[in-house]
Amino acid sequence: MTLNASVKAEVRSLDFHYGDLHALKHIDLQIAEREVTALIGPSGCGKTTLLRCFNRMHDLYPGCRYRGEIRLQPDDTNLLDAAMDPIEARLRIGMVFQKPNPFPKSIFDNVAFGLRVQGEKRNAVLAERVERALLEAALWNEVKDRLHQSALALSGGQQQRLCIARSLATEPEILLFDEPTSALDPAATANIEELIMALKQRMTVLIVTHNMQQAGRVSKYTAFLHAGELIEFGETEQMFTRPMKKQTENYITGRFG
Amino acid sequence: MSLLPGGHTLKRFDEQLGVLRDLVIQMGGVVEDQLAKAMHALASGDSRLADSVVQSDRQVDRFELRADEETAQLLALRTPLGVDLRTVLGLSKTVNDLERVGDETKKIARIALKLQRLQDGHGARAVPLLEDIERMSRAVAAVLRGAMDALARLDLSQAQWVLDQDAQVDLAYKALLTRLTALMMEMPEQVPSAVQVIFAVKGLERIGDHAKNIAEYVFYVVEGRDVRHPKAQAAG
Repeated sequence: MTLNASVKAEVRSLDFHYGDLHALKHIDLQIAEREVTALIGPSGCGKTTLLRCFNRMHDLYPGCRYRGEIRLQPDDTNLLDAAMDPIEARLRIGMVFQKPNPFPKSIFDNVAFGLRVQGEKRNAVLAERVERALLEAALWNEVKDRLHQSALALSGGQQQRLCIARSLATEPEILLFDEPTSALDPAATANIEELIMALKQRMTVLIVTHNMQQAGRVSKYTAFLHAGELIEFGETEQMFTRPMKKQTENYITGRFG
Repeated sequence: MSLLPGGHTLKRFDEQLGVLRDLVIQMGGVVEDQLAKAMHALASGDSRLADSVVQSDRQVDRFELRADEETAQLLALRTPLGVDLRTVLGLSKTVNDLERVGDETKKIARIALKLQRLQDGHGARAVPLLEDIERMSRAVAAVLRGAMDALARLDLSQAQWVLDQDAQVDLAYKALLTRLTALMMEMPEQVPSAVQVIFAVKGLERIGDHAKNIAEYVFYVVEGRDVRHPKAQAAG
């Protein structure tokens, strides 16, 4: 499917190997700008692997090989280019993980972390950017009086929003979410989903989720992967009411073995 | 009734879908039976039969309540998607149409009772244009049966047959109205019974429309294609 929306990133003929395992097979996929795209599929289908390609997380592990491109617009940068610095890729593309992973530092230092990596030393700038990121992550009101307390004292939902704030502080163009609410209760989940919906006004969001209803609630587009292949890609609304492929239908209706 | 080979990983889901489906098929059987009885009462003047139709509408209402409860449970607890979602919606909408069909048969049964009262004082009982009405009711019963068969077997060619037949039912309805109007002008003493007959014929025509709706849901369940209101869809 070719998007009607403007394209923020385009995956072209992407193959990915973990050693001998061919984890992604010739993936072609367009990611719409300032929209939420969900990646769904059974465990081991390659959705998280695909997500991690975007910010070169695989570079941290030996034996991983990319072939193909992920072109980031507007400058047409190939994120997978060997010459591309993974650190730069991660500044442009933020990531929020399944389990909240705050650093054992203060709330303030967590959010300021990326900015300091970028070389920002001015306290006034750091304070302003930290406040803005916490506001955007809908956490400011809950933590503004205890910014210098440990982030580990926050609740699970708050910690996840802190991780989102940490990602937002460096103003990424794309934010990747890897099952961001699987460890959260329904209220905290609703908060994160609200936040994702608000964030897409400003940035492109890619989310991996096992929760079909969550994909339905937050995403405009959905890609279904199975055994490393992209089976179907389309508008979420159509995918969940009348998918084109039998495999997709089997998966979303819970008929997968 | 399943478009997909193999059941759900959650067996209980299949069972619940089966319960809803069985309720709807049974409800269809009850209203088909009511239609046949109501028409028989209209033709024969059998008041007890007409009364029984009026009474058995409660049974239809009970089916509706149970089916709605099952639908709510399925939506709340199973959050169906894809063909499952379409199946639940299609069955639930069919329940609404069947309940209306039940109401129409009850009205026809009441009309049978009224005709009986109207004609008691005049000796011989005669329903104007009875043969034509019976012909129309056979056509309507056939499309209702066809629609329920199409739903039970998810049979698109059967559903298409119902959609095609509906135009015939509408033609029969219009022809009957024209003839009843002429009859009332020629024989004013027949006006009270002819008016009742018009209501009965209108009821039959409505039942044909409900059968058509059910056939349209079959397309939606099977293909995800909404074949209703083509003009509205073309206009966007």
